[in-house]
Amino acid sequence: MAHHQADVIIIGGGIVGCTTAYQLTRAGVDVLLLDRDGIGSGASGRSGGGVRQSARVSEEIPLAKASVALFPDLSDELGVDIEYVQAGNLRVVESLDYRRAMQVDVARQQSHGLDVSWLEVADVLELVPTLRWQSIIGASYCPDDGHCNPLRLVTGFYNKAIEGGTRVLLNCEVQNIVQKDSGLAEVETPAHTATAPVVVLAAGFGSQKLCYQIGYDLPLANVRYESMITEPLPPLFRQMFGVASSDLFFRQTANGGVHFGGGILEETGQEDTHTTSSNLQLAVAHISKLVSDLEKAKLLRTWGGLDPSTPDGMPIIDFLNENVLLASGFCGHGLATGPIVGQYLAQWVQNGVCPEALAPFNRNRFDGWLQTKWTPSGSVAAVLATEDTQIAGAGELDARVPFMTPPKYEEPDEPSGQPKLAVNPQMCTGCRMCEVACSIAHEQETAQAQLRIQVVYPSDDYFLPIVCIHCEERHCLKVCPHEAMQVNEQGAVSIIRENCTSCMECIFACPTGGVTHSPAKSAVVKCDLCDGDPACVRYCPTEAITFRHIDAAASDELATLMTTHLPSRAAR
Amino acid sequence: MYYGYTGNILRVDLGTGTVSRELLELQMAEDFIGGRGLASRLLCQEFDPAADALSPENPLIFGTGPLTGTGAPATSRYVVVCKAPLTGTIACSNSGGFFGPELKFAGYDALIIQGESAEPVYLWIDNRTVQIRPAESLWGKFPTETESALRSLTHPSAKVACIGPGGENLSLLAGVVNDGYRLAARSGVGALMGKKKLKAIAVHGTGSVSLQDPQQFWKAALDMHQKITADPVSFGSFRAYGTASLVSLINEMGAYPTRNFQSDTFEGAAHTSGEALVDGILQRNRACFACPIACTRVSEVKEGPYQGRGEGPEYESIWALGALCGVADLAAVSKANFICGDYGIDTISTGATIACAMELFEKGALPEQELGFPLRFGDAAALVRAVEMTGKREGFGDVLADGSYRLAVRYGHPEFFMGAKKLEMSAYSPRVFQGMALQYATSNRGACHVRGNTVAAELYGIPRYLPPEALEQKEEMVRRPFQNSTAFVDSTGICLFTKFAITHREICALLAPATGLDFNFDRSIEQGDRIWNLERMFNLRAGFTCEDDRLPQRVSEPAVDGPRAGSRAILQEHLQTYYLLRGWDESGRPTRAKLEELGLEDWWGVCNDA
Repeated sequence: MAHHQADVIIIGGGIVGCTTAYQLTRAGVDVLLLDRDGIGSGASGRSGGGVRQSARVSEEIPLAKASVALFPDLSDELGVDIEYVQAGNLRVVESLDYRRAMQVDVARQQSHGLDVSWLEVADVLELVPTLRWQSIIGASYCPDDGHCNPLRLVTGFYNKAIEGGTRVLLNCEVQNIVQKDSGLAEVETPAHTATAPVVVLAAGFGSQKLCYQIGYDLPLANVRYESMITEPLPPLFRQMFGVASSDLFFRQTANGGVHFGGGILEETGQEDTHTTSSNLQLAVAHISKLVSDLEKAKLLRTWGGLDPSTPDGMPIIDFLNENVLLASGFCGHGLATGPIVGQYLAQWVQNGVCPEALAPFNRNRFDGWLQTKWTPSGSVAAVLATEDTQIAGAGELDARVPFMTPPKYEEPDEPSGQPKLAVNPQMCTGCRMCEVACSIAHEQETAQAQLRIQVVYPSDDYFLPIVCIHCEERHCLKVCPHEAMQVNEQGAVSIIRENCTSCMECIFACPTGGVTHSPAKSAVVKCDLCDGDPACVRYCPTEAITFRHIDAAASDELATLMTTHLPSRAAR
Repeated sequence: MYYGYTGNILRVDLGTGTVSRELLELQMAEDFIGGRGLASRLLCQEFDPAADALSPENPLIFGTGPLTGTGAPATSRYVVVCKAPLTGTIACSNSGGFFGPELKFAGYDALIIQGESAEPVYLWIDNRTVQIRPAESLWGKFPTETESALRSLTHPSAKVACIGPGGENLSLLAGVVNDGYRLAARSGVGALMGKKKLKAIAVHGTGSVSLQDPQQFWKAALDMHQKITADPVSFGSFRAYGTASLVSLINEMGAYPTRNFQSDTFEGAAHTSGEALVDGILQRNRACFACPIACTRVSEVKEGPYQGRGEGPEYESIWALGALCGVADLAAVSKANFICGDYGIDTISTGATIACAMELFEKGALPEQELGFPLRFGDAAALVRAVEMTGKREGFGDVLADGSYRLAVRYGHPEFFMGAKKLEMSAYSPRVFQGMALQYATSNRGACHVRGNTVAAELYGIPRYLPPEALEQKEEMVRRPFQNSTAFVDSTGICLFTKFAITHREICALLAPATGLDFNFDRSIEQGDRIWNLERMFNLRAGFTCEDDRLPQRVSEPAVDGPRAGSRAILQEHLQTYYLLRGWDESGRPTRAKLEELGLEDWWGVCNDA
């Protein structure tokens, strides 16, 4: 059994491991890099190659921006052409249902200083004439995004790290990481042991098993997708593409092949990389709908892609104990953010201080979560469901009114339908009495974990309750697979507790945060309008919530208000 | 099964790094309720009052009341109890916001922090998981910055109580700040937290407060809600103008102490009134947990040299940083108030200390070379500068940061200290309000206004009107409906501001169904009395005597100007009657019979040996 010593041991030869090894060796640190298989054999080498900042959750935008800024110079720095094309990213919207959600999401991203805009279909076609207009409603467009060759990027960093003196053990599976009395960590593999003060654990889905041994239950699902490449074709487009309502992505590589992937995302309990013909057909059919004349092209090669995904679509980067620094669960965003993450990790390892940019990715954010189901990252629905959609200057949506003005929602001239809840942030003092009233009315105690209504504080002078707006569409009712939802006398969708399995389909389907999950009750809860006399309304001291007839325009406005201020699930 | 209470007391030893959980004794809860009473009782069992306030043995106790977090109106309060670094008396500083309820949701009635850490740490309480974590990166940060940093380090909706740089540099004016802007301000409790190197406590709770009889509780809560929203003081003026609504009222009465209590009328009051605040800098009002009143001001000074943003200023802050220093510029007063918030220091004591320095300077006792700049009454720029230096302990700020008593003594004029037991008086002149004179002198934490704010009776006529200058019945009024009653209210977790609209009866109507314990009106009077006497015994054991139940000579001299010229504080005459009514001997010590009546007989030996 061979024994090794190093300053830092890195487990995982993917993009994060290789960039970190490169940065550390450059700083004169003695690094030992281990991988179970080979370099880029996991999610990194199988990646779609997108290098984008757009369509990220807010916490990740600064990281993605900093990383994209590095890409133009990487070919020179690494001495290898990474085939980087900075021609923009289009996130195509195919259905009217997603149009507004995408526009809201574009506004959110703009509020984080991202150059991203909403393009109507004519503008999309002007930019990319080879798309089929029949299939497209519009797209979000970020001109600074692009794509690169993932294998060249990973191996470029790897070769530079070797040049700098990184030692490497490949085909060497780490079985355990043990903390020694000496204060060092020992890494055990079948044929080797190695000790170092710091171990960087960047093994993607493979990190989960090692974390478990350390006593940390890493909330990671492995999501498999189909990936494939066609024979070289004449130039079709230079941009990177994603699709809002599904997980199809595509780009044209330097030699002309169209690299695309998607299909039905499958959650697998292991690192399953096989491909299935049915899934391939779905992806081919989908891209053929969007790109002209592609159905005739021959496929050269297919492979299974991997997205180790966390519940909120963000990586987990945090120390697990004094020795082990975890950086895994990049949810398919690792390739693009890898170059900057490597720099930050190297800093963190060297000076012991968490770089501010990595703070949002701490592991404690999941404490208390019920980890039964999460949507794979990538789709707008997931972004909206998990995203902290605070828009800076949101007060401008409703011009700021001095305090104590009368409610703004007028009764329509001819009331139709049944009364609903109307929320007026200008009147809300943030006292949370509605939460209390609701909790006592439904659960007979003052509880924080069954929030049918929840006050959020987007800024120190703007507050409002988030509650079901009783929309006409009733997405929650439509998606419920277990007949656990019904419409009650007040026209509110209410939950039949006996039938509810807490599958949370309704939570993800609702764009306005009207349905929530109560960990304390292990149940899904939502507003049922209290038999026509809502407790929140009765108890609100300022008429910030009222029970009244509202017209369609006001209802739309309410939906926008809720969607805009819906807190991330972690904050709920 | 506990109702109302969570039943858990969390004990954290920063010296050894251990965390443990203890069960609340129900008998103790029945005797001392919660909040101020329970935390004071815990302090007495943990700590010898004779020991030094900044010693590691002095525990910092965070207490909530049985009503905190239940959702009845204004049930947001928590208290910070310890031996006070500023005064050496028992300290109980009280604050609202959302931190107290969150502690309950996390499952704790009280939090005892003992020992001292060698390095800066913060406490992360996530329901049942409690961690002591390093806080080097937070040290030096303002409360709002600390809160947002901690939210990214812990949980996005964690509630945070912390100290500002004032607490870190052991300023005796420092308080504990929660929800970014709210201070458990007085007595220097923040200095003890700084001494313990405890930067912050972040709490995230997903539990609930169980109620023994929810239907009955809900009925009582709605009843109280209606009474408060119908009340012209609580809901009317406090809602519209905040506590600052008092500026005009008190000044017009000629009871608004000015220029370190040299006068009782301030010519510039109109510029700094609640009305001026609403017209000038108010952005909107904001509420604490479950409060219909929403007296908090979110304000911003957008133009001029004093730009800033924050909450407040409250009535006492406007007064201490305004009239008391002779400053009539609302923007400067607000700026000084925001700076106090940033450094986490008490606005009343800070303003009073600077006012004292101004008098020392104007009367030639404090040389300019020591100050570094002239500090005259009415100089707004000098005020703001002095406040910032105090927060930083920079230059002469190092002296100011220890409060006006030490300042006045240091420069040979203890008579310029305007307070009692080293704590500065508040914004109601004891020359005019005879009830306040007796209250300032006898209050257990020094001359503060919230241990028994008799202004309610002497101005608003609540519970009944007694003219401010009247002497008859003032002893009984101070004792029972104010001091004892306040001790009771502070122990339940409900906000004192509701007391304009409701009485003990309404509070007991909540306590009984919430806890399932036998809370009623008669017992509430006894409980308040018990808590007051316990605090008194703590102070006696700490070395205080009836000689400390005194007011500054200045307020015993007739007011020279204003509508109440000639009025003066009359104290000596009713002090003996007050002692007698309290069941104390002529030197202000509770008699053995009194202690037995209250079940405090164990204290007899403790204090009479001392």
